[in-house]
Amino acid sequence: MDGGELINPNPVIHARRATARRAARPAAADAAACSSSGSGGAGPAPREPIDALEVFEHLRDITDPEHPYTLEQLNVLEEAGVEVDDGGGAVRVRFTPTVEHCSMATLIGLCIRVKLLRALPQRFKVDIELTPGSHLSEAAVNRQLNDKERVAAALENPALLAMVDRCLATSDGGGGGGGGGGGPEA
Amino acid sequence: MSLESFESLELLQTLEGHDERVWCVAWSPDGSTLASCSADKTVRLWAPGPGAPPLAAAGAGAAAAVAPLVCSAVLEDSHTKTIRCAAWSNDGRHLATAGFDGLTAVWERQGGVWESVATLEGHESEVKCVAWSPNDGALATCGRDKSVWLWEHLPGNDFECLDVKPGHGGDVKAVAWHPGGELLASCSYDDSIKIWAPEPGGGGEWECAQTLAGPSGHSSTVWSVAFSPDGRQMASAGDDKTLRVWECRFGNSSDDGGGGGGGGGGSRRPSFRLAAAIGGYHSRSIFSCSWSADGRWLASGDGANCIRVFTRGDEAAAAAAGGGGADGGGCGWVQACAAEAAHESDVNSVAWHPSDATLLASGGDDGRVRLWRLRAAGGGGGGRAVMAED
Repeated sequence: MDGGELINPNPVIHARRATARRAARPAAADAAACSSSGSGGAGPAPREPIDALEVFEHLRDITDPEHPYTLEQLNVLEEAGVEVDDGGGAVRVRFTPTVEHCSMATLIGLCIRVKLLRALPQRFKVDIELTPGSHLSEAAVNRQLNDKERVAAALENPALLAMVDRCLATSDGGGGGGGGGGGPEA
Repeated sequence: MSLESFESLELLQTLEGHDERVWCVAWSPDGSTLASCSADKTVRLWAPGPGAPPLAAAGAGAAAAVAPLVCSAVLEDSHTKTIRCAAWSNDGRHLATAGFDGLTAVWERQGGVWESVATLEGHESEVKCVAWSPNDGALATCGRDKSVWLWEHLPGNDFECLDVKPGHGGDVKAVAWHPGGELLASCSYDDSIKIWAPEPGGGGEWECAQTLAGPSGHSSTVWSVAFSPDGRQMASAGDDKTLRVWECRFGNSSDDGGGGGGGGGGSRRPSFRLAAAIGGYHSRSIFSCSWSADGRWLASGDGANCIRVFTRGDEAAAAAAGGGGADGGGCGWVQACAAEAAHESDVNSVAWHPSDATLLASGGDDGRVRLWRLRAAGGGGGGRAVMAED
């Protein structure tokens, strides 16, 4: 794969931002809602909704296929690029390749899709797109990433799956993903 | 006030057994058996258990009770990857399967046992669909390599490649034979549908007789095509969330105006014309469409876990719908009913029973196969226009 020449030899590296993982969430409010409505042992606790931050947490530490940095460090992914409609069961992720001719865009998108396939409940419909204007072949890449048959076939390709798993290995620490077990976070 | 929802889809049975997503369901031509194929690399055959009344014998038709189907056979070891499509020959003796491993496999029922009798190699990569010609003399396959292949079915289960047809600009997702014979439709990732027919001169070569694309066509991947049983119409289903109904004509002129019906004709040049675009119902890609045996119901399955059933409204319904603009209502087609959460995930395939016109099978990403009964609220089979008193 690495034919020597890098597509973007000099990417800008950004710091991993402290999103103050769970602390930022209105945990107190959740708890309050729980206890006020339940006021006792009223059955199982309501399902905690999945939000954009949680989805971002699953994705932020995926390693870029070309560089030893995460998608977050390369600004390929930001929390603002994740939209979640928990009630409607829909997730939309927009990502931005570091250069607009990036030939890795499809692979990056595939990594994001596979990660979410493994991490999210099946009820979620996931759409993955390039940030508008971020890539020369935007429509073609988007089309491919959202063709479930293409994705299914790609995942039956051992070489491609190995590449995806390598990129995902770094992201399997915090998210509690299923299936493809990677080691603990470095 | 609305003419919708006089019918309903009632879940009859859920068939569990596949370990992964079900891509395709297909009824045997005699209606006795349902085949399903899956990413788990198997085909399962489902039929009423021993002692139970067989399925299709109830030719009496509408709403006959359906004995519980059980898995009567598992066909495996013919593919090393996902089985995307399964197709029965019209005599019911053969089953062909298309695999992501690039192979097409043919099974034959010998006595009570299914034997793998042929493996067709040729496609460069995933085979996505396979279909038998109406007289079982040929197989059509298509796939990721953007081509459609025609195979001759010779005695002794020999298959010889007759022709390879490039032409599509992307994966060919599905192929379907016209019930009249020498006419094939293919649909693709390139947003188009192509109609293939033997070259007028004879000689055995096939050519693309028409490409359905552009303003009247789909604006994204076309996932499925299906001919009505009488061969007068073709439906297509797309990633653009629309169903389209095409009028099939045969004649020597390709002009839209003329009556030019009739089958016969020396050259039988096909001419397809958009008759209706049914949009505004599905909220995600439509993966499959199927016509009921009586041609009355058009069912579709989509990526929003939903099955919808459409029917051609009568004149009153058409008038009420405002005549049906090109894009809006769909030229008199109305939704009869829907099963919103038909599966727990995408519905990949829907198939009406070949003789019982209100029995529908579906398969989905949840690995399940389901049977549905279309119920008419008014009792009996018809009566949509009768109930006007809402």
